[in-house]
This record gives sequence, structure tokens and C-alpha cells, in this order.
Amino acid sequence: MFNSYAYLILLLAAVAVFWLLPIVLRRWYVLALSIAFYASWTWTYAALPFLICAGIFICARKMAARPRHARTVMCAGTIVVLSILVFFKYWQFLVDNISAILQAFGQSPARTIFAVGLPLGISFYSFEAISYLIDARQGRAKNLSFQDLCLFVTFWPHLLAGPIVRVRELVPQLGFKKQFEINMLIQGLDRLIWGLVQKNVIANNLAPWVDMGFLPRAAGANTTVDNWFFAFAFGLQIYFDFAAYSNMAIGSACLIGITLPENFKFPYHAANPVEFWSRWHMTLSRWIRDYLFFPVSARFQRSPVALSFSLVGTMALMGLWHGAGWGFVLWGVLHGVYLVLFRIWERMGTSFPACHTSRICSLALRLGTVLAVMAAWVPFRAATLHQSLVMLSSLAIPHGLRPSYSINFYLVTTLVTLFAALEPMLASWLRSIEKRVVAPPNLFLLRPAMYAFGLLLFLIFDDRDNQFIYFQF
Amino acid sequence: MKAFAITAGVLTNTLLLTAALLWIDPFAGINSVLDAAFGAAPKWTQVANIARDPRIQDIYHGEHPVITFQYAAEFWRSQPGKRRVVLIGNSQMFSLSLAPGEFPQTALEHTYPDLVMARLESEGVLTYRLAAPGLSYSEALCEIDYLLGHPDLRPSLIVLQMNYQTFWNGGIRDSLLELLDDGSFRQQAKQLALSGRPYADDFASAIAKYEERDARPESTKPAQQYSFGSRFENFTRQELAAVAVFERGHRAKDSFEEMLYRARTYLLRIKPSTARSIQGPQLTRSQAAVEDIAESCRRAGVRLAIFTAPVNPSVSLYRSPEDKWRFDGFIRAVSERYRLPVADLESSVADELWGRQLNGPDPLHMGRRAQAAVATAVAPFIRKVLKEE
Repeated sequence: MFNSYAYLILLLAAVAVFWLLPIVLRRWYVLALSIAFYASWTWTYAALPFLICAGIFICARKMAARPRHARTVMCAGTIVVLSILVFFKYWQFLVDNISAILQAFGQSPARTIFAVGLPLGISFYSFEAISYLIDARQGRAKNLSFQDLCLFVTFWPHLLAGPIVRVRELVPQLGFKKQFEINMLIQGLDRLIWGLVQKNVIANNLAPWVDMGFLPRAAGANTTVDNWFFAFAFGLQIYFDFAAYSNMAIGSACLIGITLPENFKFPYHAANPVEFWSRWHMTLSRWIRDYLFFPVSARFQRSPVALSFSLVGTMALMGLWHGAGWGFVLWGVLHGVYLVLFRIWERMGTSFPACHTSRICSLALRLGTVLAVMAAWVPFRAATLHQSLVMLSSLAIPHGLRPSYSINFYLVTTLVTLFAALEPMLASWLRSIEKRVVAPPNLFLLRPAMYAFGLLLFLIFDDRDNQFIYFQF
Repeated sequence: MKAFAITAGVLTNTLLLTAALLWIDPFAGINSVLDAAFGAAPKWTQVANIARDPRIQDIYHGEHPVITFQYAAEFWRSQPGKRRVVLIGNSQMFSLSLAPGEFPQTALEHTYPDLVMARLESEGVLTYRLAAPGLSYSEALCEIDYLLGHPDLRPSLIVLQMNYQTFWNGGIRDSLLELLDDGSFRQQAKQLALSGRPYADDFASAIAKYEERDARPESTKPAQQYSFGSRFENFTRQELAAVAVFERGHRAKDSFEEMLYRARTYLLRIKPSTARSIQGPQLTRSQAAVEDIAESCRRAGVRLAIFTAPVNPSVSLYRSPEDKWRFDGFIRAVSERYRLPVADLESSVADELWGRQLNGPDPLHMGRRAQAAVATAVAPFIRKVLKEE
């Protein structure tokens, strides 16, 4: 949606009107824009985020009015929000699994008498709603007006696929009292156009190869080399796809003077699995850490085994958040196992400090992290659990080393891998050029030239059928 | 006020520079520089003025199959009693790359399927060139099943080009999805998708894409209606498409892809003529598709003949003797099992009759004299097969 022509044209018009409006009208205007943005996708569920807002608004009021019952009200509110999420996102998954169990016991399968479409962005705004309830209960967020709450949850740049914001990050900015500064435009366009390039040029061009390699019947026939390349190709596709969305969300917000939290920080440069989660989908991982892992793990501080299980369980739930499928759960479990193994490795470090701090060890850990993360993408993308297991076993046990697809696939994947490897250096190089060029040529020549080149690439690789991957979550 | 003025300046310059880049196509310039630096053959060797006739050729090269088949059906209906021969293959059938000693001519050039038609027309034979670049055998199966399922399009003979490189290809291109508008063919394609054959995923994926275009809300995907966002996007695209500078975007994309191709060829020295070993899923998928083409033709009572595509003798496409042995063995096996007539044209064109691709020999596309030589070999082959009926 962010990479549609209509969005880009309307965004410029909407931003221009925003800055021309008196401050007092801006909140209503942004709320109206957010409603229009969500409804432009589908009218059917346009009311849903507002119904959730109404629910948590009432809960927050009740918590403030009756502090003794605050915990109960918070739990009730959270259960209602989670029930809505489960109903829309996991209903069919539950029915399918109950059917499978019934069939295993020789019973007739369960049938669902209705099918519901997945409301766009429900996973994201549900989590924001829950975070508000918990923050309000714990006194980290003051009671908001209904308008503020609706703006916080439905603010259009983060509504569909994050970043998942906190009340204290966004609400103080929702007065829209800032004066227009040229930096807002520059930073906004930087992020927006870089996002367009990431999505249209990189992610979309990997997509057809990934689709081909993850066809269910291909799984058994792919060689080990093929499967490693497909794991990398998908890992890069989803990174550039989601980072593109996040960049465009941050850029769009920046154009009206709002700063959203970062979601990615060169995740494949992580030195270990823990660092990976501080670089990948940062706003989700901190949500999971603060609202799920910390409360759960607090009970198991004295038992390392129970703590490890709670870590794996938390990651499995995070996998399930992504989609109603066992592949997502397996992806989460794998990451949970990586985190547990890393904790063990760290403990071993106290026994063998020389080895632990050596360059070779840290390089091996860095490489191992990338390989493990890429391998974990296989169940995330595979159509079935069986396919995941076939492909994962092929990654570990050599199953032919010859490439069996077009040479272009291997070249494109290698090229994008190199680009991802050099991305931090390129970013700092661009920043250094920017600093060296004095203001007028920078503003009127260098930046427009960079933007124009980005737009050229966006336009020539335009493909409206290729949606953002995270829209389905 | 100053900030707003700067904003206007930045945005105006960005739009103007974008329009300028779309207009001048910077990648075409880079391609010319690369060609000059690496000694590529002159551009005029890639002939553009080739005869186009929708009655006897797929002039869209697989991009608009429904209209293509309508043209063929109309023409064939107007020529009752004549035998129809469909030649199916890749870009070798519709491209012409001038060989050393050949120069551009003002008259339209003809590729070998047209020359075959010229030779056989007086004998009551109509040929039809159904060729698309990089055609996979799954796509050939798709097109052939469509032809066989429509009496107006049913040929007397199908001549299938067998090319080692084509075994590398897979999938069904999006443009062929419009064939699925035909309900009975869609059912047939669904059966192929569920057949468990190695190419079944190609059909499953094509059907999934086709159905996605007509998507209804499902529980596993975000619900979308034809909302005002979608309508406004359609409107915006229609309006922009009418702007000349946006039209040139397609050309810039081609140039960009050619730039990558040139970089691969010049810098990495990976060319279409680089020898390769074809095994694994691609090979089994293509082999199964060819077998099922033969089976479809047998069931429909339509004769199928195959010929191995001419290959430039100065280029070896096979990485090892086993690859050649595997390719020949498959052709022998499939021809024996289905009693298919075979013409081996692989070495039928001398190396001086081949064109050049960039800075090396062209493995697939032939010159003017080579087209005539191939037509001389294919025409009697078709005549012989038709006589055997």
C-alpha cells in the first residue's frame, strides 16, 4: 500500500494540507486521514480498531476509578482483545487442528460454518492496545482521552504493520505542535524513497525465485546448495520487504513531524542470537520481552531449565503471532533454542575465557548466527511442516551439491547478500558525503538527484501485485 | 516561509530529474559504454525488421495467448481442408542474428518456420509458429493442451523443438494465465496441478495466481475489497500511463535488466553459451512435461514430431559427456515409447552461419542463410511425417 502510486500522491497532498492547517485542527485531521487510510483497503473492518479502542478506553477508566480491581479489569480487557485476535486470525487454524485430532481418533472432522477475512494490521494494533492496558495498569501511561487513544492505535503510518509503538513514545507527540522544518522533509523523503527501492528493487526481485524454490514438490528435489540459497533468498527478501515497510512508515510519520521508533538495525550483522533480536523487528521483540518474557521469567529465576523453557515458549508464541501455522511456531521454537544455546555458550565462557574472547570464536559465532537465522526462515516460508522438515534436513545433511536452478538465481541472491553485508558501510559513506556537501547543492541538487534515481528504480520495477509480506500477519 | 520555498524547490527538482532520467534512460547509455569496452557485435546484427503475420505466428511471443489463438483459429477456419502444423519452440524460432558476411536488408526477414510455410503451402499445409522466449516445457504442455481442447485450434501435426537449454527452464509465465479463463481448460489444468507429476507445481502455482487475481476474503489472508483505495490506484495508473515519460519506464527496465545481463556476461563471463549440467528438479520437471505432451497428443489423436534444435558448433552447451548422453537418451526413450518421428538438427548449421551475442558466439540465434538451411531440413521432415499419417 505504501508503495502504490495513489498513496504517494495522496501523501504529498495530505502532508501539504497538514502543515497549512491550524494546530488545533491537526489532531482531527490526522485521525480522519488514518480512518480513510484504513478504510481505503476495506470498509468491512474499518470500525474494528475503534471498537477495540472503545473497549480498552472503558477498561482504562475502570482501572483508574477502582484501583483495587485494576488487575482484574486489565486481564479482562486483555482477554477480550486477544479473543478478537484469535477469532479473526486463528479460528480456521483451531478448527483444522481440532479436525486433525478428531480424525486421529476416528471421529468426523470439525466443520466451521463461517469463514472470516483477516482484518489488516490486527496483530499490530491488538498488541498496541494490550500494551496500553498494561502500561495504564502499571502507571506507565496516564489515562488518555478517547481521541488520543484512537490516534495512538490508528495513526496511519504504523497501523498496518508497525512499528509497534508505546504510549509514551507516540502520545506526547500527538499534539502536533511542532513547526515545519526542512529536516522533517529531508528525513521523511530519505526513508520513504529508500523504502520504495528496498521493496520494489530488492525484495520484489527475489520473490519469484523464492516462490519457485519453496514450491512443495521442489522441496524434496532441491539440493543442499539450492536450499541454502533459498533460505538466504527468503531471509533477504523478508528483511528488505519489512525494512522497506518500516522505513516508509517512519518516513511518512516524519513528514508531519512525528518520530516513530526504529524497527531494524542491520539484523544480519548481529554477533549472536541475542543481538539479532535487538536488531530485527525491534519493536516487536521489546514488546515480547517486556510484556511476556519478563513477567513469565520472573517466576523462574532460580531454575535455569524452567527459564530456558519459558524462553523457548515465549519465542514459540512470538512465532504464532506471525501467523496461524505450525511453521511459524517452529520458527519461534528454533529461535528460542538458539537463545538458550547462546546462554549456555556464555556460561561456558566463564570456564574458557581465552577461547570465548578470541577473534576466531567471535567470528564463528557471528557466522553461525547468520546461518542459523537463515535456516530458521525455512519453516517460516515453507507451505507445510513436512516441507520444512525436508528442507531443514537437507540443509544439515548433504543432499547433492549441484545448483539446479538458473544461474541468475544464485547470482541475484549472492548480489543481494553482498549488498546486505555492505549496507552499514554504504549508509555511513552516504552520511559522510552528505555532511561534506554544503547546504544549497545538497538540498537542490544532490538530494533531488538521489531521490530521482530512487524513484526511477521504484517506477521501473513497479509491481502492484506484490504486497508487503507482513501485511498477512 | 523559507522552509516551504525550499520544500517546493526540492520536490520540483526531484520530479524534474525523475522525468529526465525516465526520458534519457541512463542504463541504455551504460550498456553502450559496456558494449564498446568489451567489443560486442554491432547492434544491427540483431535484426528487428522480421516479418510479422498473426495468422501464422504468435506475434506476441506468449504475451497474449488468447488473442493469438483467435487469429490462428480464424485463419484456419478460412482455409478448410488444409493440414495444420504447429511448430513450438523458443526464441530461436523468431529471432535472427546476422552472421559474419550478412548485412541488414530493407526487405523483411523471415525465420525458418515462415520459410517452411512458404515451401509447404502449395501442398495444402499451413504452418503456425508458436514460440516464446525461454519457453519451458510446462508452458508448452499448457499451450498444447489448450490447442487440443479446442476443435478450432486442433492441428494435424505438432512439431516440438527439443533444446538442451530449455530443460533448464520451469514455471508458467503470468501472461499464459489468461488461458485459464476457459472453464474446461481450467479444470484440466487443475487436474494437472493435482497429478503428482514433477511439473504439477507449475500448474498449481499458475492456478493459485489466477485465483488470487479474483481473490475473495479467506481466513488466511488480509481481507480486501475493491475499495476506493484500489479504484483510486487504478485511476492513477491509467492517467499516468497516458503520460509519455511514464511509458518510457518499460524501456528503462529492459535497459536495466540488459545492464545486469551484460555485467554477468562481460565481468563474470557467464554466458548463455556457458556449458552447464542439467539435473535435479528442473530436469525431471521438463522431462515429465515432454512425456505428457506426447501422451496428450496420443490421446487426442494428433501426431507429434520432435526435432533437436540447431546448436552453434563453436559452443558446447553440455558440461560433461554425461549431460549429452542424458539428453540424447531421453529423446531416444520418449520417441521410442510414443513412436515419435525425430529429426536431429543439432549439428545441421555450420558455425560460420551463426550470429554473435554480445562479445561471443550466439548459441541459439542464427543468421539469414542458416534460417534457410534449417527450413530446408525441416520442410521435408514435416512432409514425410504428414505422408506417414
